[in-house]
This record gives sequence, structure tokens and C-alpha cells, in this order.
Amino acid sequence: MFRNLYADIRYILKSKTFRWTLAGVVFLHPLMMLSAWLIGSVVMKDETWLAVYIGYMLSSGLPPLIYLITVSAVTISSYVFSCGFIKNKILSGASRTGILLSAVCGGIFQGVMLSLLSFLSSVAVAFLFADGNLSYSVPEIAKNWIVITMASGTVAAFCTALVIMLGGSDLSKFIDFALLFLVQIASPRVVAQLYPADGLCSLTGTKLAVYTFLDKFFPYFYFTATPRYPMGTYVLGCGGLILISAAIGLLVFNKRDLK
Amino acid sequence: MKNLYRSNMWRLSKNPLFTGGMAIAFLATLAFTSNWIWRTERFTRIEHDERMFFISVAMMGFFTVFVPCFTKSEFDDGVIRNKIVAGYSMKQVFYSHLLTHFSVLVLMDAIYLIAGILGGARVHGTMLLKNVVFLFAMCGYVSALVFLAIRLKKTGASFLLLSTCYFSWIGMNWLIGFVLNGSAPAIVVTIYNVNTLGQWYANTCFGDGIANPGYAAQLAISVEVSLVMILFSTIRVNKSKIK
Repeated sequence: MFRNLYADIRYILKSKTFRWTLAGVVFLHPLMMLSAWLIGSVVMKDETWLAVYIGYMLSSGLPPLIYLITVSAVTISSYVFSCGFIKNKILSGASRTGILLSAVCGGIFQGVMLSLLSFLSSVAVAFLFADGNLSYSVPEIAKNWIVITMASGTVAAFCTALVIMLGGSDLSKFIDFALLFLVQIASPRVVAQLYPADGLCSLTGTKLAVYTFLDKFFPYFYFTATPRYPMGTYVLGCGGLILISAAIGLLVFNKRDLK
Repeated sequence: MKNLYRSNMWRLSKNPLFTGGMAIAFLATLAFTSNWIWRTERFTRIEHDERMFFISVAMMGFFTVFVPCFTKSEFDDGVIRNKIVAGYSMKQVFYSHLLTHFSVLVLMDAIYLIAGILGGARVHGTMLLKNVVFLFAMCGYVSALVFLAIRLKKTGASFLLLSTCYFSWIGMNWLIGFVLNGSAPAIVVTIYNVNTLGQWYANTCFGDGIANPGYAAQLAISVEVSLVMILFSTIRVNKSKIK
């Protein structure tokens, strides 16, 4: 498995897609903060708004990050399949379990790398533009980014496992991107209903249970707002999704005929 | 070209995604327009024809899945390669595909209108005009999807296009509402209406009047978007490689 993992990580680091997505996270977030600074201080002339907005961008995962992670994980894993790398590994004697687990670990590696670089590039610019008015403390920002880094690794691992499980087919790409899009639409609404800006939450019954479960244990939702639960909840959510995707991936991939 | 179009339509008639999509379009429009589903306070207060127009945006979701699936299957099954071997140019293949997808769009729009009218929507000039404007806006969106499917051959990219449309629409609404404080220069209105979601929302009863430049301007923007996408799709298309 470790030889596979070494080969996977070496391939990821040399991949053009990964390099482009790295460039994306390094430049995109500072660019968004720069535009926020221009709007806040030049157009609106409202420093409080600027501090809140930059604080929000810094503390939440930002939509581009989760999109870039999905694009990187899906493109690299489907390319690995279509170019016959997986078939070659099996022919060279590697076990299917080892191949899938190393691919999932490679996915986690991609997510963590992208998230950390995104954090490093955006934190430097945020303190520069917020001009001392940032509404979040350093420990709060650190906790947010630990959660986002874990969630990034989990999302990338899930996407990779799904692509490998479904044999690199178009269906796997569709499911990955459709899920991402649906969650991006649904998550702000779910969070707004669970934590209304004015008054108490009015949800009850199954809807409340489902929304709370998604908010607590579904890593795609961790990008929506600042963490509200103890760290253990997020570890459980991320670990759970990685374990489930690896377990289902092993079950399906071990029985799959490779063309 | 005529033969290519006819062959596409013949294969389309056997496509389960196409028939399923049409059935879902009919049932969803009927159920939503006639207040059977989604009975929130916000939607029960508005007229049936406004409800019908609101649900029309679901067509964007259908085409985001349908266009890349159909075109990719044509590439994967060797249908397009066979057409090229038979002497047709890639440009002809592209135009036949575009025309096929436009035909599906018109057919779906007709089914949606019938279902809406059966669901209680009033037929009047403004309602028909709004739907024609949205049909043209959808033509622009479908042209962009065909470009992604035929030139880039990336199926997942269609969802990235949909996401870009969605987030840019949210961003533009925020820009008009909070930054520009309810005023919008012509350039902002134009950019807002290049997006299919922008045109759709500007014509719903929830839309902001200042983001709506009028039906003629919206039609002109949609035609321009379609032409630009067709131009991008056909530049050097005959030299593209087919596996």
C-alpha cells in the first residue's frame, strides 16, 4: 500500500490539474479579499462592513475552495483510471484494497494541501486589508481553519473514492458535482433555519433532526459558517465519511470488472 | 445536415433521459402551478401564472444533465466518428447537435406551457412574452453547454457552469441591493442579464425592476450570447481530434 501511496502522491504533485488548483487557491482568495476591500473602503466607505465581510471570508471555507478541491480530486482520479494506471497496478501485483486506500489517502493529501495553502495566502491578505478591525480572534480563526482543513481532506477523499468505486465513469463526476452544487444551495438555507438571525429556531420533528444531523456530521456543511460544536463532533463527522466511503469503495471496487 | 438532424432526433426518441425529463417537466409544472406542492406562504400568495414561470428555471437543471450526457454518449458510442468517416464535417455535426438540443428545449417549453395552463395559469400577452424571453435565454445557456460538451468534452464542467451562473447571480443581486443601494448602471444590468438566472429572476414577481432592461434588450442579449458561444464552438472545430 505504501508503494502505491508514494506513487499516487508523486503523481498528484506532478499533475498539472493539481498545480493549477494550487495556483487557484493561492491567487483567488487574496483576489476576492482585494475586491472586498475595494468595495468596502472605496465604494461603500464602511470599515465595519469590510471587517465583517473579510472576517467571514477568512473564517468560512469560501465556495471557491470546495469547488477547486472537487475539481482536483475528480479530475486526477478519473484520469488515473482512464489512462490505465489502476489496471497496471493490479497487473503488477498490487491488491485492490491497497489501491483504493492509497487513492483515498491521496485525496486527503490533496484536500489538506489546498486548504492549508488557501489559509496561508488568505490570512496574510486579510490582516492587511481588514486594517485592525477584524471581528474574529486568532484562536477562533485557527479553530475554523482546522475544521475546514479536515473537511477539505474528507471531501477530496469522498470524491476520489466515488470515482474509483464507479470505475471513473461520467456518472461519478455527475454525482460529485451535483452533490456539491445541491449542498451549496441547501446549506445556507439549512443554517439560516437552524440559527435564525431573529428569534428562536422554529423547526421541529424529523426536519429538525435531519437538519441538525447535516449541520453536525456532514463535512460539506462545515464550509458554510464558523464552527458551532465541539471539535470531537467535527472529527467524528469527517472520520465517519472517510470510513464509510472507504468501506463502500472497498466492497464495490473489489468486485468490479476492470476494462 | 438534414440527415444528421433526423438521425439525432431518432436516437433522441429512444433516450430514457429525454422521455423521463419530459414526463417530470409536465408533472412538476402541473403540481407546482396548481399549488399541490411547495405550499409555503410566499408561493401561495402569488398568481398561478407567476408560479408557472417560477418553476421554469428547473429546465436549467435538466439541460445541465441532458446535454453533456447525450453528446458524450454520441462520442463514446462512436456515432460522431462514424459521421465523420461518412464524409460529414465536424461543423455540420456541431450544428446538428445544437439544433437537436434547441428542438428539445422548444418541446420541453411547449410541454411546460401545456402543463402550466392545465394547472390554472392564465394565458395573456405578458405571460407568453416572458416565456419567449426565457426560451431565448435558455438557448444561450444550451449553446454554452453544447460548447463545453463538443469542444472541451468535459461532462462535469456543465455543473461548474451552473454553479458559476448561480453564484454570479447571487453576487450580482447582492451588488445591486447592498453596494449600489438599489441603483444599477447599464453595464451592471447587462452583465446581470447575460446570466440566464438573472433574466429569469428579473421576470419573476420577486425580481428587482431595476435589473430588468426590458424584453427587447433581454432578447438581444440572449441572441448575442448564443452567437458568441456558437462562434467559440465552431472556430477550428473541423481540426479537432476524434478518438
